[in-house]
Amino acid sequence: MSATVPESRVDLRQGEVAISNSVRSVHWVEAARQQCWLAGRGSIDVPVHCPLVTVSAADSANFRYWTKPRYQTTRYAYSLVLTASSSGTCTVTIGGTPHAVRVDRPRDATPVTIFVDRASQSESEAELGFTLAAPSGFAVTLHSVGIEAVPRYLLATSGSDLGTDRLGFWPRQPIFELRHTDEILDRQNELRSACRRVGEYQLSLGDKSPFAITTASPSWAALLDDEFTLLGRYLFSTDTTRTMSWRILAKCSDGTTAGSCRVNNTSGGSGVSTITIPAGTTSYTWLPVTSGAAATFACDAENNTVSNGRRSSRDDEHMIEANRSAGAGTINIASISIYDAAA
Amino acid sequence: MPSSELGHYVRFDEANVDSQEYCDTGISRRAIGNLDHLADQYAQQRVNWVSHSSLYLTQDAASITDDVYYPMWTSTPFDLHVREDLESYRCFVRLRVQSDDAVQSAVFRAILAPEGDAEADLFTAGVNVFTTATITSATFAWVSGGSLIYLDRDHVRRATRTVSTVDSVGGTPVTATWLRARLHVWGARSNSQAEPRLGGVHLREYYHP
Repeated sequence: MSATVPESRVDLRQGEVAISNSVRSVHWVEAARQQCWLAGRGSIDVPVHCPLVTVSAADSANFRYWTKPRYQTTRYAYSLVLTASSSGTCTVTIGGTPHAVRVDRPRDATPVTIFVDRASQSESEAELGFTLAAPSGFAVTLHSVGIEAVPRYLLATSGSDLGTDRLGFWPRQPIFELRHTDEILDRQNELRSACRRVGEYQLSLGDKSPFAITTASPSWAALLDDEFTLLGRYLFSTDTTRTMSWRILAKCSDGTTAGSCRVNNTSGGSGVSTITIPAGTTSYTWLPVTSGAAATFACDAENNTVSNGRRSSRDDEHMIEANRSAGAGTINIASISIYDAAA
Repeated sequence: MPSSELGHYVRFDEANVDSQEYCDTGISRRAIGNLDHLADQYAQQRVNWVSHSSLYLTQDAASITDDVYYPMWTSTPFDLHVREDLESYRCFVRLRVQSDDAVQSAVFRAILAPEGDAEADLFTAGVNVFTTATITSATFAWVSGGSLIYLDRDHVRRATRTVSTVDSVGGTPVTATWLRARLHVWGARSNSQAEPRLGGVHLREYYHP
């Protein structure tokens, strides 16, 4: 059995479900549709950003992101805006498959979207990424990039897809456990995890020197020009913060250099999280290592009683900083991935 | 404001909703409220970046005219959630900008528009446009608007596209719909001493009934 994913959300009639009111089919039909909308409308795993990295002529670089996908994700859409000093073609390789992509001058640049299917459905943490190869004639600049989970048309009603067939709640259908209980009530906790915001902040500058952000400072040095803002989901009545997961793609310039990277809260929230970059990390490695848990920190949860969602009338701003704790080389950070992994 | 009755999610023990157990009015009402609340919080972070290495986006100061808007940055296309009234979820926008001068000013506009809209359409002020106050500063600062921007029904209709998707790994491609919206940031200067500069953009959905 499968269930159709609506194109727009449904406003449910919660107030009509009350003692002495009739049990009406429409309440459950709409609930089933809303559940399918939540499970099937996709997500943005890499929010659109502007790396402004230029790959030299005849050179290439890998742009890598770490995320925790939704189980329902079957196909990703990689959208890119690539620019160059003249028109031509470059190559974007995703999952081993090369794609010839048109490149234009900044004024004429148009976005290109490449669709890539997943190898299997899972919500296990995984890497997304692509290789950008410039032709021999000119350099190519990555002007804008975003990666989205494409919406589904149908969801399976069995298993983790969390689809619910609205036709089973139609008038004259029986009220019975397999529908009301098993497909809606028993799946709410899973659904809460499935409709995460997923990507909150993602930056990849490529793995070629000198793209990565570097520091040789023994004291904390800002890696970005300014703070950025995150706002987590507000779920439970006492929530004021939400836990974000994060990893970095980092290396040291030699075997004796070591350091740390941390995310700091400058205007609110309570979390400060540090990731250690151990000596011997001389090739780009996701840290904390991906066999273990991601690092976490707290950011503001949305305040859904105000006009713009901000808590305490200010943005919760975060800065990424790094330092060198040992050796004489540099710390290189190619990617920063912050994502909502919590249920 | 939240669309659910309580404005938050209510956990209940799944063991209480099983065969031989009552599915009473209270559980039903909470379950439906939970779906509404999850839909509110399904809002996504669509755009989020801040510059690095002191890079920024601008226009060549020698080749632009005062008080004329010029394009600074355009995002890749992205989807937006659509409400039941067929308008998009509202979006909170934040720009990191400066005028490169402590006396002369610049002004910026962020326009949420369907992919493919012509430049003339971008300058039709509406619910999808955020215009900053006059910026007079030689250093970058984040500015945000008092109101949220969004695509109205006409914009949603124009932004709606079909997309090939699969409903299972290795399955037959089928057609779904999504929106293709882009965020355009334009800047103008008041005087040749100034230069509009952009160093970060933030756009997140917020469900605001």
